[in-house]
Amino acid sequence: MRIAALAALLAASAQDTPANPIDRYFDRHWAERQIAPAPRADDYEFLRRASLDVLGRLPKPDEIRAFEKSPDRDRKIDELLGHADAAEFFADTWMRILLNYHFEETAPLKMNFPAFRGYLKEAYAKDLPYRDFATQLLSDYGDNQKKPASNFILVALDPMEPPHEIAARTTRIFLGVQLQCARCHDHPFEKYTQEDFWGIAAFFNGMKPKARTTFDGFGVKLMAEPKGVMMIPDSKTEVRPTFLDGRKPEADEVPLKALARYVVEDKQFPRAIVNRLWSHFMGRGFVEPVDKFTDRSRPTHPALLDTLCAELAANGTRLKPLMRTILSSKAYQAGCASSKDDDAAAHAHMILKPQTPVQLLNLLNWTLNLDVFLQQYYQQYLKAFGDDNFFAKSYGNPEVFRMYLHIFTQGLLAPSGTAPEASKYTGSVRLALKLMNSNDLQGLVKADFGRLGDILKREKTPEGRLVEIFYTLVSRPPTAPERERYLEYVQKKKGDKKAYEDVYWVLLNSTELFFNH
Amino acid sequence: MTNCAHCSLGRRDFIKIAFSGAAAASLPAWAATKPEKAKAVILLWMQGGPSQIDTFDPKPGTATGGPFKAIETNVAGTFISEHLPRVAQVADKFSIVRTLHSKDPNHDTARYLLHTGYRTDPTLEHPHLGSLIAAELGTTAEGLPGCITIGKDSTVGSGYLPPEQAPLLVEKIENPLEDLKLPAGVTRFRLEDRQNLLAAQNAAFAANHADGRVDAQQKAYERALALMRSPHLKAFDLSGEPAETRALYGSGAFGKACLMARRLVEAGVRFVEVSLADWDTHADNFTRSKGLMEQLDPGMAGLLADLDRRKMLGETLVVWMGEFGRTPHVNGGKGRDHFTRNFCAALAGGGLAGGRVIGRTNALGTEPAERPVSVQDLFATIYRQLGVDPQKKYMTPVGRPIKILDGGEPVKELCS
Repeated sequence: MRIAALAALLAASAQDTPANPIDRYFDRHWAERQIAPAPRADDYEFLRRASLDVLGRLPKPDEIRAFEKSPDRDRKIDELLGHADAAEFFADTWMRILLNYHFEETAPLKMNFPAFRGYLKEAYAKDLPYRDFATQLLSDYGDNQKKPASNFILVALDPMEPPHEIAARTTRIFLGVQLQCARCHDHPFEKYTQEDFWGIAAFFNGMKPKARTTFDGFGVKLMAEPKGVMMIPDSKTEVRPTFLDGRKPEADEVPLKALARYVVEDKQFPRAIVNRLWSHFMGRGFVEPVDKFTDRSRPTHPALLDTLCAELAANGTRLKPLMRTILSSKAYQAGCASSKDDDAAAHAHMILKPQTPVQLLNLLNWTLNLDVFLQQYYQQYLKAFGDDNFFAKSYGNPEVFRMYLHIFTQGLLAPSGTAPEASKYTGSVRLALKLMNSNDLQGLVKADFGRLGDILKREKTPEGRLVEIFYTLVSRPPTAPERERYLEYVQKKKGDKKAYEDVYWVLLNSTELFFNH
Repeated sequence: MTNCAHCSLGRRDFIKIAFSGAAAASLPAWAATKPEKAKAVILLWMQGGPSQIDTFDPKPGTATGGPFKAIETNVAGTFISEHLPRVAQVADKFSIVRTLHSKDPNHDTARYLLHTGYRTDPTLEHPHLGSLIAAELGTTAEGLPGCITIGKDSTVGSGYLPPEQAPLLVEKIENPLEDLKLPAGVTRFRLEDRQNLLAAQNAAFAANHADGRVDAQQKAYERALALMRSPHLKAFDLSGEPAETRALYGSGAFGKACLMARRLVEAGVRFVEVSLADWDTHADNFTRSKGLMEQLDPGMAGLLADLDRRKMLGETLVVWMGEFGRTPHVNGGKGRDHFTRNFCAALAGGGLAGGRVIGRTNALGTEPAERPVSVQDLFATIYRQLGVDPQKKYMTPVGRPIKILDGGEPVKELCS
């Protein structure tokens, strides 16, 4: 068997070597293990998958129809990567990562939210090299409007505490190294000591927000007053700013600048971002959890991880070329059907991905016009409380309004303190109850109103209406059994338009809707 | 630094594990005796951080005391704010801890700490105290979860426990079943049609996607439906209560929520959290605190009196607390800011002693003067009364065993 597989492999490689390094890797990997990759996802599934992963939203019916006419996947990938919605989505996604997966209601008081989100959008839009992105986030300070990246440090600093939170976030987010346990004691299983942790924290020692006197959190200054040494709390040990490899900044250097340099030069730096992107698109990181590399980590595909790191470097650490490579690979475009015995880590089929909170928010906005509904809510709020207060003013800002939308969705998924990470996805009873019963939301699923109302006005035949509802919610036409089932149902209701509300309701609550497949 | 809030392990534990194979508990003998008296908990959660000086640790006539007077309670020598007159009349039912302290002045992370006994950890979610208690004691109310929060979202979930232990949030006290009832225009029959179509729709997807998360998604819907069909939903309906009882709790939303909490505990729910929000009084502290106490006073006093006369107080532990206290110093906007050095909790029932004051703060309330009590001590006390072993370990999804509580000793003065 082995020999036969090798022969097949040699024959395959003699024929042609795929240009995509991921295809090169997996062709060999699958052949060696005699794994048959799943058939390619059909065009509907591909379009929905890529739209969710790049734009953070479902494809719209007209986008589906355009793709039906010319299903050129490579062209579509370029179009998606260059789309304005992609910048919105990656800004939101980075925001969750950089703010610890949780939007606090008080966050607009602590930071310049509009400037920060604007910065993240621009970074995506111009494909700012990731190296520069990390450098700016880790070393910008001063006016948080003019230096919007400084909001990352600003929001993680607490005037009452030593800078431990920002230290933990820095190594976890940019290096995939988790030091927080070493905050209080030497790490039990890893090489890191308490001094390593506080050595990182010491880089931030002396950073502080300039006192705010008003409730206007937008204009805060992050001050850099390097203090050099600091004491490990509750101890008599002094630490100097010291990177994990022992390097220390020059005496005349702002410590942050040195830290940013050490971070982007570290060998973990590319590995952490490649792993994060791989997990984002492929549903499983080479290393899991996605931001936790340890000495004992065994990446699922170490050679491929190295290859992609090299590709990242070759592209000057710009992320879009790497995204394009992943999106155009056979593994990414494989079908999603799976059985219990499959080894998901082989990536021979696409791994199911639960919708992220950002995707879910966009989905509710699209299927229910939720943003319109909440804007009305906001207008009522203004009427009731006047517009001369901080929250009213901040609601008026679209970026901040966006954050309140996030809090709203987070609340629907809650109670759940932090990120509903894919691996421990549990569903949400609260969201289920809202989507099934909430009068507010059900009021948005009406035969004579909103998204559904538009469909029924435009499409006159049961067949046409059914297809349009399917395109709107699950981005594909109904299968034969589905068509039969729903047409029969609509017929049974004798032209009562409420029957379409039921169909819309069913798809809105369907398991398929909650996953990216 | 032997205890790490992020890990289940402290340095001393590593050594113990290395040499003896397991961390041994070393609590004093009295603490090890298990009372197992309490069967349920009602948490009165003061969202935003209430001022201790303006509630249960008054400092009248001092530079930090503010304008409120102190009144003597029905326990001679114990004084609380003049704006809690009815609570003062049931002071023999509860004890006050005046020296609770932490190091976390941020709302979100402090709320997490006071709901889990742990600090936030990006790699591990700890369960809500009520989820843990429900998991340990089991639930008895068919269709209802073991932990219900009324009012504001605590944003703490089931953590490393299974999702069915997640707290159920009831947002609107006036309309608690909002999302449990069928929406306007949807009859039972129409719901049945919808459910049948949904089942067929989901079956096809599940057949092609063998993934535990697909099952989890469907289970969440099953739990939602079980809730909608629970025979205990009438526990949410206050209309059956005699007018006299309703009057006992006052007409405010908080009082109604307290009454609902009692009914839910009667139905078999293990843990009910009732929140009273808006204690974050950075500006205009006194007017706002007074207004909040007008809601708190009848709700809390009514609850304690009602539980007592129904002989439920022995089995029901009532805890009053917020995420921290507020500064003794009054700022320029007549507000008080976040303060963690000493703040108050009040505990009643569940076999605990009433009428006591634990801990003392200095004359201006700026420092604990006697008997500081940690958040872990408070949690250890609660767990002890319920017969929950805080040393018990759960295996977390990341493969790390974690103790129910790390450190802390029950407050002896409350337990005897």
